[in-house]
Amino acid sequence: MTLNVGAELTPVVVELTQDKIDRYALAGGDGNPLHTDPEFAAKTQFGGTIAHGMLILAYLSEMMTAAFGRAWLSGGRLKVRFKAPARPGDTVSAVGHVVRAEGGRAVCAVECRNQRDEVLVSGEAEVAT
Amino acid sequence: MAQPKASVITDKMRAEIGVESEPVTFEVDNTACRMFARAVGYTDPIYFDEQYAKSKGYRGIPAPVGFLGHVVYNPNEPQRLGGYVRTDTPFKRLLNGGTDIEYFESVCAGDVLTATSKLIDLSEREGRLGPMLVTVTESTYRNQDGKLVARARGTGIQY
Repeated sequence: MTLNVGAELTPVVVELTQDKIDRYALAGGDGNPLHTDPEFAAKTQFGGTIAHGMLILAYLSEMMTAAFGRAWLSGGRLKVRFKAPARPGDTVSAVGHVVRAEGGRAVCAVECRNQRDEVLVSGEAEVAT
Repeated sequence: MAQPKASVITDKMRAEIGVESEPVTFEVDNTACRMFARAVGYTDPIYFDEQYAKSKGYRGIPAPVGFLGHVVYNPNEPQRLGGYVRTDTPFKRLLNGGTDIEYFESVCAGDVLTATSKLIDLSEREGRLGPMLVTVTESTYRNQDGKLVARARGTGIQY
């Protein structure tokens, strides 16, 4: 992994489906019907189901694991804000680049965007190098 | 001038800030790590093949980031809700507003974690969704050796 400031991380691109959201609900133990029940979700202001924030965050972590391996899994820090919902049918791209690299730590600006280039999640990921 | 709206934050709620919860036990096992990894679409063999994970320097199958095991369920004990779900507000809906998760050690299948949580901040905002209560909760996870392995701060939005 090149740690020069500005270096881009290899993006992770995922086609989001209701099936993936349902599987996450089971594995993560989050049964909020806003994520899994289209009929319920249609009556909310979202107008349909949305993905769990933590599922979208998992795609950022996949990108960081690919770039930094064990250092990420045993000493990483991911600090994000959820900006907009991700919906079934969306193409979610996790992207990032190195913004600082000093004192044995690298800080990356990370984001997930959808196919309309709307920011779904944004924040920072920090890892030992 | 408009009258300020009455606050939904009570003195009782404020008094909870900084108070540590009772510890909760989380078990991390092969099946749950694999299930989580499958659910989020990971294909890296470290999450599926224990021998391979060991060959890469892990003690066992690592828990994917964001997965810190499952609470041990006991039907004879009251169910423990997540730290940021409050039932003493007029708001019925909840969203995840943000996450700040920090790892200090790897978490692997076979680990038994003990977590305590505390409320660290309460605030009110008027947003696109109308009036909102924003709660920040911090959970601290230690493993079976008493080592601090992760700290997670979650921002919950109730509206």
